[in-house]
Amino acid sequence: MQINEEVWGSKEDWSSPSYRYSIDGKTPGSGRSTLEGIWNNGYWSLGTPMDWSISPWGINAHSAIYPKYKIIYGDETNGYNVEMYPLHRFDDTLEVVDNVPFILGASPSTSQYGESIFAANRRYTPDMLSQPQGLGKYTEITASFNYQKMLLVPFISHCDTNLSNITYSNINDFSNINFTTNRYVIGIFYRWYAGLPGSRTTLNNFQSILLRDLKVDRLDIEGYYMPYDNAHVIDMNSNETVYWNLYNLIRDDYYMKSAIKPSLQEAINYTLANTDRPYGDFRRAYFSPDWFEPIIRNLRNDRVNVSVGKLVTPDNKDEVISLIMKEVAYLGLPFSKGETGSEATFLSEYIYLPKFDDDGITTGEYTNSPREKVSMPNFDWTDEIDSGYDWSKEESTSKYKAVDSVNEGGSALFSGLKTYYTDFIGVTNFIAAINNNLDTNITLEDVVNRVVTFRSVPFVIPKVGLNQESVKLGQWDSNVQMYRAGLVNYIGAFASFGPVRVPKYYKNFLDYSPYTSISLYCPFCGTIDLDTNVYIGHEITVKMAQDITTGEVMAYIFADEHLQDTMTGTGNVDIPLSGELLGSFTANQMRLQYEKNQNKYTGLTAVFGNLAGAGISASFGNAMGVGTQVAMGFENAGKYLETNTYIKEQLQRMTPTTTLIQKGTSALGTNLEPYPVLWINRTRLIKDFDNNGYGHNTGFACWKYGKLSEFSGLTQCVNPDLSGIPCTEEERQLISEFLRNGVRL
Amino acid sequence: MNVTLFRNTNAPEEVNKENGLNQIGTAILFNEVGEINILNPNLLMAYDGNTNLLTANYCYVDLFHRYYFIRSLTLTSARRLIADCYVDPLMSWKTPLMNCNVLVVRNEFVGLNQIVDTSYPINPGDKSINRIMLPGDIPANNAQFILTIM
Repeated sequence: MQINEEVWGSKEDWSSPSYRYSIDGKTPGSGRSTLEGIWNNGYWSLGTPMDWSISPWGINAHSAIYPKYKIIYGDETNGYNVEMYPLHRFDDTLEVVDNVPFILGASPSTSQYGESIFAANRRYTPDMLSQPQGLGKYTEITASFNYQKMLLVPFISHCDTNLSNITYSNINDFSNINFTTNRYVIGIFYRWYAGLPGSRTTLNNFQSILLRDLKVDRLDIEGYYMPYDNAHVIDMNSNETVYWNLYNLIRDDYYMKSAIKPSLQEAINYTLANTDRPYGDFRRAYFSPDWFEPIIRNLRNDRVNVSVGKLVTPDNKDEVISLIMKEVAYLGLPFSKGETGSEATFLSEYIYLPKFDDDGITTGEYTNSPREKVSMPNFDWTDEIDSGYDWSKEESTSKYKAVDSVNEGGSALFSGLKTYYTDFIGVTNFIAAINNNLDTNITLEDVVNRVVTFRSVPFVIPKVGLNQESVKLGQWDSNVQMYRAGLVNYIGAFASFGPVRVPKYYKNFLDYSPYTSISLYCPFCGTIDLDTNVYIGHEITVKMAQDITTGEVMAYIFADEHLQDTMTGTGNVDIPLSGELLGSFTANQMRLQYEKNQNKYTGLTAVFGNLAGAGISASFGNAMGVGTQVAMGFENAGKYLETNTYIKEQLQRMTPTTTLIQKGTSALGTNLEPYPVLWINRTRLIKDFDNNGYGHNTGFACWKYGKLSEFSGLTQCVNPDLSGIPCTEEERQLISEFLRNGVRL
Repeated sequence: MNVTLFRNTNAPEEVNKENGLNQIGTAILFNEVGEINILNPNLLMAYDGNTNLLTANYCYVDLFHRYYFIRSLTLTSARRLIADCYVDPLMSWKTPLMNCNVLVVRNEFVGLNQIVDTSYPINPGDKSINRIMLPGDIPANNAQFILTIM
């Protein structure tokens, strides 16, 4: 998508966001050090001059917020100044240019979130698009996430009809409110989430964002405005209570928190751009001037009627929510209806994507289904041709559904065998039961001969339809409950990972092979190289299915929703308890070892020692012989097996012996790298590369057909049709030569 | 039959040189040299003593409707100035030329991102690795066990 300069104006005319805050015009270009803007590439700005090769968000003029904001210098008699930041775009002289960026206030201060962690001074568009702005030290994975996974959560600010009892609700909560009386929607503010899940334990949470070494929690960004349709008008003269409530509302919730004394303004040269200004925890509120200006202007004198937002009744609640979501969609950022408690779990919430028109202006519409394709010109601003495969033109029969059914797949059980599922506690209880009854109710021979397989598997096994029963070895009942697979039940386990978008970086041919290569590591399966044409710019999803009876794992790799690649590996870790597995030799060894050591170790420890031996051998491959494994298990029992924690760790920390393997191994544990990992290996441009200079001196590969007058700057042509020029043949040849070598238009 | 003399600061490959042309005078063209090749003419002009004219490096000859690069100037006796010229076909024919259909293979401002441009200055020895984990279903701390007994 190209920038429509008729809509956005010439790039040369775009202003730096920091200018906006030089209200007196004295210090243009100096920036604040707090968060102040989100740009259409998904990045945020601190106010340091940024590269305007990317225009700000386009907010549709139909949005209620578009024409409603202006700067107001309020209540000078009271010694305070109210800041109201415009949502128009200004040039250096504060003249409105046209479309507006969505300007965010910022509660995070530099002291709270570190110094200039989001400094925005990147030079080139590819950097802007693909890396966090600023120091350049952040991990790219964060950038990849921020590239697209930033999220607004709108909160509805509402109060009762006396303008008291103000509360905030996200859309989900708001829709669940059981209205008994009418309320006003008096504003909307946003919490903006960006970044990666902080850790595995907060996998589904956006709460923590890991940037550099800082963990940045949720950024509270508040941009108040009110939906304007049918704002309710209050007669201020006739309602003293409401008047003072409104006054207090402004003073406490909006006004005072953004006030700066005139003397302080003088000290900081009347500019709000000074980074030393004591923001503290001031709430950066945005007002509707139509709403608040009369109050601010007439705090103690003439009371005028004001509109205070939309009256919400039980009947029109859905309509209001729809209106608000439309307003949010106008902002052009992905948004969610809600969060849960203090930890947001947005990954389980549907993320609404705003829709744009062809000029990158929001339409107020948004997606309503997870697979709905939406043009996000903010992410495609520099793209003229989207490379890779165009899935929309392909017939595909390999949608997700095909793989989901593997959940029920796998091999049937052999008749006569009983298979149980359990977790670590079940294993512990079972072995404890064996040891408690060993040589009284059961012999070790019973154990080793009756246990056919004993394995750990990495996936959660679906237990739907399965019943628990007590495990029996022969006639002996262990009284340990495990889930039993029935004869007709299939045994399959299933896991799904992603989707994660494989980001474009340069947004040109460098994103593809041979300049960029991508490979995928899948637990239990190894690593394969992926076709950049298929995956770059698309979402990758890995779905893994395991046949538990054989241990074989199949990884299905999807580009968007289309099955593209597969990998195989082995996910089971066999734990050799029984004679079936180890043979009579092993059984004899176990018996001998047991008898030899029974005075030193308890039976429980002995069995655990064997488990540990298996684990250790697994992690070292097959370097050790079976006998050695068993012996080592017993030997190690005394050294390491103080508690079963060790066993647990061993079973779960079986590591691959190489970092890059081409085929799965059976001993990849779940704790080392249990998730698929995508590696994107990119070529870099030479240092200090000047893209504009390159265009001027060399030109970009173009291959476009048209009249010469449609181009400008350095232009190199082949096969020109010079038939319309009434020149001599020699001149024609000269012109042709010029065009081949490049002319400047 | 006038020759308009310019100081040209444009590069030769500039099609429209109007912006970089500084007119420094005109001179009358004599037709005393007999044959004139209109693509590589030697222009014999009257020289009025204006030394500015001697700095000319570009000219327009209304008789030929063409612009010329001046290769060299020769000052002769009898106040004559001879300009050794060769035609600038781009400027001379810029109007019809701009209407010509062409296939542009390189351009300063318009590029098709997905065309492989082998001139692009990549540093083959400098690679960046981006590692992206796919979050998903594997339980972190809860291994599952299968026990099959006979």
